[in-house]
Amino acid sequence: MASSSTQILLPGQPLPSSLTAPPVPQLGSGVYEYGGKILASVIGIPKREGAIVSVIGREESGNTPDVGSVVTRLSPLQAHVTLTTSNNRPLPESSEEFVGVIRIGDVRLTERDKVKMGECFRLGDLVKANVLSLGDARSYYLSTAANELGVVYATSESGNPLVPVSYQEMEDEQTGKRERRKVAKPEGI
Amino acid sequence: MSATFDRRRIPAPEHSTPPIYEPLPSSSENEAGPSRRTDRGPLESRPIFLKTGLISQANGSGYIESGGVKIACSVYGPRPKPPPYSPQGSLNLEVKFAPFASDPRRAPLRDTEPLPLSALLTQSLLPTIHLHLYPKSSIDIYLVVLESDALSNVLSAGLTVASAAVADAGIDMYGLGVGGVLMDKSSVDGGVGVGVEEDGLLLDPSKDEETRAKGMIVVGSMPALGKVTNLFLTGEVDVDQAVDMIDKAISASKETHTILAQALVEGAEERGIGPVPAA
Amino acid sequence: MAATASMSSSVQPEASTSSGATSAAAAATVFQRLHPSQYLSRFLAQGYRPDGRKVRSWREVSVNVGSISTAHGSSLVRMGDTTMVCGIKAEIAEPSASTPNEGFVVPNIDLPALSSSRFKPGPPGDEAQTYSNWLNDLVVSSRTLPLSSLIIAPGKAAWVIYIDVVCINYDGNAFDAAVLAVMTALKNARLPRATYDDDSGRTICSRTERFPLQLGRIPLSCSYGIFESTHLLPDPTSFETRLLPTTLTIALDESDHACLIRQEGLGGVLGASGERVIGEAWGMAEERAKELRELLED
Repeated sequence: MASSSTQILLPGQPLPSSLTAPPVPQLGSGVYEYGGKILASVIGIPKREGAIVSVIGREESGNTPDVGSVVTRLSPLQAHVTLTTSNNRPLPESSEEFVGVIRIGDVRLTERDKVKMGECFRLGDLVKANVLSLGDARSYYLSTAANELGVVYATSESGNPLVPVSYQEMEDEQTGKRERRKVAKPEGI
Repeated sequence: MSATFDRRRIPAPEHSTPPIYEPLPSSSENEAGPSRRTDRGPLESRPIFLKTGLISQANGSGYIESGGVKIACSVYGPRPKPPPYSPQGSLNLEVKFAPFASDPRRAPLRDTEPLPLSALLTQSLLPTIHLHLYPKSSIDIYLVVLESDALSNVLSAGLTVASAAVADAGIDMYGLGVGGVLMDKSSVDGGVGVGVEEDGLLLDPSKDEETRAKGMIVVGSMPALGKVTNLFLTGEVDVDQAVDMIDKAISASKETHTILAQALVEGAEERGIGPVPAA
Repeated sequence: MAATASMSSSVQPEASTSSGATSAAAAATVFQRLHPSQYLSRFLAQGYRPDGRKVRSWREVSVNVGSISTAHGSSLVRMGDTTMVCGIKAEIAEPSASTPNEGFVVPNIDLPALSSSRFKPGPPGDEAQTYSNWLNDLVVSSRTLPLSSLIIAPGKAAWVIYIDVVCINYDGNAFDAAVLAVMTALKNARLPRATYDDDSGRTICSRTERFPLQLGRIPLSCSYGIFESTHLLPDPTSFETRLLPTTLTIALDESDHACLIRQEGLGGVLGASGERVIGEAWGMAEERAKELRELLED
């Protein structure tokens, strides 16, 4: 049972007691514990869903899974990408870009040893991926090892949009030529 | 000159001086002497105008007018921080004065004041932010002072507006930080007025008043948690008096906190956070 | 308690519909981020710009003068979301030996890191330097502020007029907004009456007498971008600017004489001669400058 309040809370303000009544709730996002009380840490509306209380503020752009990114550089062992959207929301644009890496072992779920990078991604492809970890100093580690992950938008060598035809091929509808990709299973199929 | 020649700006004459005004007629000088404040009580704060979300390009922003101080502040982030890896977010803060923001003009490059101000503001703001939630990221806060009078007030208004901008950006905070300034008027050349006010304390001094300070403190605090985030004392003050001054500065900060809270709630509603309106 | 319970139950279904609406808005912003030029061209095909105005229209402008007490003249200009503050400070210097009868004008535009995520803290970047130079050219070549009017005592003392423009919010077309801010601030500026005392070699200013600057021609600037060699877009926003390889700036004075014309980037509009494009832009600039001039007179 979810319940919420209609009052806007500010950082440092305690959540209304109706939301923090026993059983003692778990802390979700936008809240923290201080001196035995649960306080808001962002501006927003407090909400309790089951055992979790949180404060829902502005659309966040956290480092959460399910990322849309564009391939910028390919090497035999890994694909370098820039992260553009997260949880279907664009990441804030700035001069510094979030960069990620898809290592060769994280491209496919099966037959990992037979993966060839050039047959999975091409420069400029739009890729949907999960964030595996914060990665190294420079990049986040990403994975496309799931059916619904992989290339979601790409253009052919002649510059036309490609349409997925199988889990590893996409077709240029104008020229009829096929190209190999690690294709994401389209939504709703 | 050649070593410091600035090729990035339109060149100015090597030396220029601010206008020198004719001396005031002697009669008016007496009147303008060490006078008491007329526009507000000694422990009354300056009127504050605060608004968030005006800078559309930033993730969060604020604009404050506090007496003769006008500051715009924007927050960018959390955005990716270049290597090395850091397990928690880093806070970068820069204060910049517009060249026309004070008398005399602040020539770019020759202005050294922003650096210590930036450092003090960073220290005041650090304890208010949950930086551990933002690994590998930086939060960049920029303040541009458009008009200023007393530096102490730039510092306290700067903290208030920066806090507003960080909260507006949706960054996790422990509480809202606000600044307060209290000054102890020197009794040596304080002259006529001092006897009337028992303790000679002044809240939010103006530039003229600041020059007559014996001691002054700037307090950064989070009134919601009852915590002090930074304390900056200059001059000569007894221990008991210092404690009294801190108390008074904090109780004044609570008023500022109320104004800040109201501005943030209004800003949040403009951003679409709030009760879902009935259809 | 009962009231809150019924409130929360009534809020629930609406919250889910509103999240549906936000996800449509989110999908649009994702599309804008991933395919910017398709995003723009779909709007243009419908006859609109992404910010809701008609393809060939300009953003709304508001001007606020004299709000900064530490400056001799000041103004704040908003052009859409782009916000510029201009402050005029006058100081006194010795005229240079080669031009003993002239004062100085020093215009600078600052695009601080505050105003956009694209700018870094530190000294002025390329864009700010370019705009400062344009502004200097414009003020000098159009003789907006005749240097001879700034002399206090020939060879001894002259005014230095520092014109500083600071961008607070950078949403494209910074130059047009900056020029308007400069012109309104110059009109608003009041300098103290100054007299040079030969005996002491000092210049003393009056506390009571103030005078406005003598202004010559007052140019106003109008800028365009050309999208995919087909659309001439006036007053581009920062999102649009990145998609516009060709930009065009025309500055006109009160009698519609040009003070500055600049085209950057190759190319024009397909099927139209360069002459026609400029002519079209000039015609639109005349109308726009007239609108802006009304703000200036207020």
